[in-house]
Amino acid sequence: MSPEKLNGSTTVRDDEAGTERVDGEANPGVSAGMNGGTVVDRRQAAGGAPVVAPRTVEELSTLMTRASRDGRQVRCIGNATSLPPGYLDGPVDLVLSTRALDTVHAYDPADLTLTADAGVSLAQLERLTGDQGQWLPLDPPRRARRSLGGVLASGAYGPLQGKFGTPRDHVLGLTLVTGDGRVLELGGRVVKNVAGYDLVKVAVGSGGQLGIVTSATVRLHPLPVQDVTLLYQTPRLALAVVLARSLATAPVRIPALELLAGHGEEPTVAVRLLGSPEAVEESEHILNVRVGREASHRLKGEASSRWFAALERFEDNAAAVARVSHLPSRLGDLAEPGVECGTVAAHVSLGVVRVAAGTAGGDDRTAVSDRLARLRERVVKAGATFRVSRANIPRWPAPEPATAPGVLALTRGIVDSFDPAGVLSRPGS
Amino acid sequence: MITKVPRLAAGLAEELIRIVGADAVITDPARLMVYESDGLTAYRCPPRAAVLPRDGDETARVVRAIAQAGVPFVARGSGTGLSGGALAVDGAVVVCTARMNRILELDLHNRRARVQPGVVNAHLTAATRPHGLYYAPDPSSQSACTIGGNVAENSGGPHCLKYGVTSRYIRGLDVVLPDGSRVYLGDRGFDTGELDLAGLFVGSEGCFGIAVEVDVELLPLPQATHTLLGIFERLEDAGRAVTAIIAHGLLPAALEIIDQATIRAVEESIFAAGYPTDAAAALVVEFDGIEAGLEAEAAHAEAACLECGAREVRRATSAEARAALWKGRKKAFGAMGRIAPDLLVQDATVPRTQLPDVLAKIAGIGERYDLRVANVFHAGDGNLHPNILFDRRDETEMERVERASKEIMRICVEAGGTITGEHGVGLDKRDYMALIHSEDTLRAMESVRRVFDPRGVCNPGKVLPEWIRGADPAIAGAPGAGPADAGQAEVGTDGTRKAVPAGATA
Ligand SMILES: Cc1cc2nc3c(=O)[nH]c(=O)nc-3n(C[C@H](O)[C@H](O)[C@H](O)COP(=O)(O)OP(=O)(O)OC[C@H]3O[C@@H](n4cnc5c(N)ncnc54)[C@H](O)[C@@H]3O)c2cc1C
Ligand SMILES: Cc1cc2nc3c(=O)[nH]c(=O)nc-3n(C[C@H](O)[C@H](O)[C@H](O)COP(=O)(O)OP(=O)(O)OC[C@H]3O[C@@H](n4cnc5c(N)ncnc54)[C@H](O)[C@@H]3O)c2cc1C
Repeated sequence: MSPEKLNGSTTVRDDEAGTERVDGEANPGVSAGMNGGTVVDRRQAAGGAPVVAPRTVEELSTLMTRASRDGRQVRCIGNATSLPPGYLDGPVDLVLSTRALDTVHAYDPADLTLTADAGVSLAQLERLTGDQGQWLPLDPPRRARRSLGGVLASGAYGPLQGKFGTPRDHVLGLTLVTGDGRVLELGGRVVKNVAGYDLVKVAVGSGGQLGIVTSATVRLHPLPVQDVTLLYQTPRLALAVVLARSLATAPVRIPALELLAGHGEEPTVAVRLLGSPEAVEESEHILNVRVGREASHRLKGEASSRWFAALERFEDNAAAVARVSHLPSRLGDLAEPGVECGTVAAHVSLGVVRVAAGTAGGDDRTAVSDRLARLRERVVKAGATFRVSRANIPRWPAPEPATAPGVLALTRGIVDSFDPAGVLSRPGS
Repeated sequence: MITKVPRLAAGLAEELIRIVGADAVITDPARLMVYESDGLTAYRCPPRAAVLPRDGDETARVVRAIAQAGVPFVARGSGTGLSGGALAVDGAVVVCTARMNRILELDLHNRRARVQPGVVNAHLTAATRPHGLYYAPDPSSQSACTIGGNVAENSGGPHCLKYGVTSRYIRGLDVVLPDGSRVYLGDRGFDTGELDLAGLFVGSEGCFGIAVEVDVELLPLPQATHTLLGIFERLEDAGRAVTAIIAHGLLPAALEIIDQATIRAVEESIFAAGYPTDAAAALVVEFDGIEAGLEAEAAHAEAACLECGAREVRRATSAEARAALWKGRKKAFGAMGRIAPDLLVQDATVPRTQLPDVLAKIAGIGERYDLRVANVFHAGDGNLHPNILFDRRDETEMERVERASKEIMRICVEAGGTITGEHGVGLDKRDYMALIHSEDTLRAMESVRRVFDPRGVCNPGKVLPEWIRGADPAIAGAPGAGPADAGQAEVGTDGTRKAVPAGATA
């Protein structure tokens, strides 16, 4: 289930300019990981639907307008890494790929802003901005392989949200092709902008329900001079939780604070510090004093960023990934049931815990389903939320809580206004 | 100026009194004057009535009663808004949050607070500071404006350069929708995979409903703060220094510019801050965070200022000394109020690198229209506030103010910017919206508004140009409402009622 595989699959050019078809035979196993369960051939998964990669926004808009008129079902794919479970279930007539939208339109280092097409990968952006001593501090799972559009549409984020926020906080504006083919320029290119209702916020993280993101302007940051990761290990989970919470309430803003457990090593609290060498050293001192000990390991520079890059692959080989969340102070209530279910990685200051259960392709699928159900029961009892974000098993437990009726009504109304014909997928409906 | 507005029907008045008590329903025209305008005093328009509920429950019942009567309403915090957002046009009833001013919960472990919308911004920080925490968004009006108003406007402030604007800090909102129903947007757990409706509500300028409880995130107080004041011979040089500091990879907490006109206004006032009056501009640079390293950052910034032509750079670390450096910036609006009868606070954002060029053009516009323009602004964000000083009794000057404003907006948009960075569109900038948004985008905004408010009763007449909104039909059925009854308020050529710019009738 790697992007290499997708790239390696045979593509057959056909119909009009710029469209291509992904041939299912090349890699029959691939879509299984994406399809939230049933092991099926890609072509079946998509109902034999062609994959089309428009080269321009106009082409894409025309396709959407037609699909809307003809009542067809369209799904959008970016770099093929993170389809939500169930995404390909049901009939799909057309799969749109943003991969041919791959231009960086504007990069003004002095303004710390960049405008790029949805199909540009975060890895490309990292190289481009790194040359100027800047970066987009967004580190969602599978970061290097993901498309900008996909990350924004899914709202995916990683440990760095502790300081830099989630995709919504990075986007200044974007272009969205709606379900019925309208091309909307939302937001703008400047860092402060309140001209009208903030439709960028609903487009980001909408999971592609409203339309297809074709390009976006993001806000960049200067690369930190110093990058240090501190790893605190303890033999017992309960102690690790106390330690993590103690760090989270230290009078220092920590850019990334993660708890790892059940990963075959001692429970580990990871702290990433970014900034001037002096500030990083001083923060380190404050934190060590606070928890009354030194870190077990101290990684600097490349080693620090490599450790967190490895964490981006945390979900990769799981049979299923659950996300549970609660107030950050309730970390202990989530971590312990989490470890019973699988491997745990928690965004400590946010109160979001990821639990990776089983291994993809492993034969303990029913056991994984059962463990997830138990996890759900326990965390829900503690007042937490639960949902499965990736799944490679036949059945997985429903999210909890269900969306409140008032929120559902607003959501339906908004989605209808962007995609009146219901061309795009609607998770949760 | 007395503008006649439709009266509140007796039945509705009784119903409102039943809900909130007689002392919390204001219908006396003299007392309603308080609510006839906001911080943008050029527009005045008294409401039909003002209601002051005490909590979310009362607000929901009030809104339901008003909605059932088919009367429009508008939420109001402290009325410091600068775009006419809280004005009661179309005979609206004001629902004022002044009595909803309690901090409901301080959750120190999770660095969150749950507050009522009428809590004053600075009061929240005052309450959390003893615990080593604070509420980061700090509009210059923070000693008066409310969290509810901040949410509605997605307000910024000097320190939003480093910390981001209001939307970064809102975790969830308990909202009374325009039909009186109640819904919680956002999520205390944060990770539901639903549409970001809280993010959408922030910045919706009171058009999507009334926030009755707000869950906010708090930050730990910075360990230390270093402040610099650069004095420049040329305004453009101060603009270049801003770019040079950022290009150096530094991220100050604040980067604020005060121009000569503003410096002089301050120095002539009782707020005199000791800025040299022959200087063309002063630049406030502030760094905060871990003590170690701040010194080095401040030294880099000082060097950048000097390289860009600063004639002097003052530095301060103690609280009193820093306050002295900030004084000219903080008292700018107050001081300007003293040298001219009227002040139009403009607001636009341009890409930071365009600042020197745009500032020069704004100066040119001021000269061409023979107007005094004083700039005091959030330079690090490229967020300009070219303030026009005028006298509204002078009709020809009023007209020049209007035309100069329009031109300033146009050059900001041409420079790749936008028509408002933090004050919102409100009543004032509806007709500029088409400068930056396509018709399709404006219609998409209107469709979303109609999802929240199908009948168009919630803060009608704001944000979108009339040709997009259409007439808001819900009002028609209400007894005593509607254009025919609008008394002496100005009636536009299209038959609709317009808020009356005060200068025109005073
Ligand atoms: C016919 C077919 C063949 C496939 N073949 C392969 C294959 O060979 N190899 C393979 O690994 N996977 C394959 N997949 C799976 C699929 O491509 C990926 O799982 C999916 O593209 C995830 O894309 P992403 O990396 O952009 O995910 P993410 O970026 O995480 O996207 C997740 C969500 O965002 C939405 N989204 C992505 N981009 C945008 C955008 N620009 N605008 C709006 N919404 C967007 C997606 O629809 C999805 O809901 C195939 C799927 C189909 C239907
Ligand atoms: C001297 C001065 C300096 C200023 N500096 C800044 C600055 O630095 N940054 C900045 O961003 N702004 C600034 N402002 C503008 C203004 O203070 C902000 O917009 C502020 O957020 C308004 O708050 P308020 O309580 O006064 O709201 P009001 O003016 O009463 O209302 C503003 C809008 O919010 C809506 N509203 C109010 N409460 C609610 C609620 N509970 N639910 C839904 N909608 C509601 C109203 O309907 C209206 O549309 C400044 C104003 C002044 C006068």
